Amino acid sequence: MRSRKSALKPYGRNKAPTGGWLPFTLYFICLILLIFSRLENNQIREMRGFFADLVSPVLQAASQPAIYARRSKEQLVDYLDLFHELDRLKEENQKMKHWQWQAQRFERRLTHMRKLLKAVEEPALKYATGHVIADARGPFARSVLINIGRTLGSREGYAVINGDGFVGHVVHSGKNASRAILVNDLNSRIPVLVGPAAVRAVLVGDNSANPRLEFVPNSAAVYKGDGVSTSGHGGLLPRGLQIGVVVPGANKGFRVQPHATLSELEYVSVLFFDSPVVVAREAPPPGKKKSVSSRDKTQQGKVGQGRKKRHAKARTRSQAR
Amino acid sequence: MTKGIVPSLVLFLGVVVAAVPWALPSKASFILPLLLIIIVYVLTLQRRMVLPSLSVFAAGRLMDILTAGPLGYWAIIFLLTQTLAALYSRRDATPGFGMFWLVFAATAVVTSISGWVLASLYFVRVIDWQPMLFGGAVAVALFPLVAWPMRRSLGLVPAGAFAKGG
Repeated sequence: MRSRKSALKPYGRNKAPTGGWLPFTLYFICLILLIFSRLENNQIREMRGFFADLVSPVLQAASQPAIYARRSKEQLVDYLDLFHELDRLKEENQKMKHWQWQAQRFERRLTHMRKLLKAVEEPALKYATGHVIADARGPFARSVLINIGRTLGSREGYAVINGDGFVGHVVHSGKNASRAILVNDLNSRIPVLVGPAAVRAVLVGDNSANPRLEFVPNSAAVYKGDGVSTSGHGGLLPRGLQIGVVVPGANKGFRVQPHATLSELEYVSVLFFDSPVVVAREAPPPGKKKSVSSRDKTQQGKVGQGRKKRHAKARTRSQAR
Repeated sequence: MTKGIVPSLVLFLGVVVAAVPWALPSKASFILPLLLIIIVYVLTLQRRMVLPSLSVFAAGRLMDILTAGPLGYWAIIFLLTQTLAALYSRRDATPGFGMFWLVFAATAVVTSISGWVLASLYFVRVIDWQPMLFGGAVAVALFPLVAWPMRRSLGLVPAGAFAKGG
């Protein structure tokens, strides 16, 4: 007869691997990968993109219950707060009517001024909207995986926004999915303008909820509650995308509270902003242009046409959305 | 070989679930990845199936890719959890659930501190330790809620074992 003690054994001996060469080899591979990752090896980057593309359909399917759960929670909270929310909206509506009138007045004046200055019209930004299919957590990154890849027109460097404003930019664009780092990521550095005086500064992420404002001139007039937007300096991002408001930080420093709730991103849009920097990155080096044959030139033209077609297709899709 | 399939699938499923956007606040960003160490710990400490080190390594790498962290970070954390659990299994083959939980708490402390040290070394700066500590504490607190149903549903242990204190 089997003893009761042995029947209740939760586990046995010597099943788990502690020794042998395999665990040590795996630890060693991990360390090598960490070093290559630290050196930002291109192949590692490519591999990361390839796998992210590979698992994106699974993640997209797996994120559906999370999205439904989040929506249900939001709906419940909204329902419980319905009367308070109604009062708040009525008050906000009154303020908005005033601001609408102001905006219309300023728009008329702006149109008049632009005509006087013969200013060049800025083209409207195209965009594609998708949803967040994976969150990055850990000490290293605050980033999201979006279901908009190269096929929909996404490219590295493009700005990512949601209904509340700028949230980050694309750092890797795969075929079907793109990785965007958020403004509070440790590696994020965004040139910004602060307040009505348009003080130049750099928004530096440190993985906390509110990124730091750095390189603020000593005599600059920066106050709590000032609006922060992208400056467009460096040419990577469009100018004037709202990010958040200034809040006091430690050691008389400043931080920025983003308008968007970065930990609860659901739908985001990728802005197709082909800045000179992005275009220059993809163009061949000037020295190589001389050696391009006429046949190559034709192929380049075709590639260019193909790219234009792809962009046009992506824009049509985004507009359809 | 077949003994390793189910635990590996459970672990990979856990990785995918942990990577899905659950809208947790920044301070709680470590909770889901650290909950995975419960899965590694429980699956290592059972006798009916075997969790291969290669699966642990691959799951860690998948986690690294999905979380955009340095490749190898979560793989090391998961492997460390497995090594610690395996070392413990050699010492005590029939623990009660209290001891089982206590040892997990020690494992979580060691892995959290190791993770923090590794992250600080990687960035050559002192990383904020609070989210890591918070994640570890939540993992320890939620251990029974994850471990017990998991062992019951996978049939890793007779039903009465934990109820009777092992």
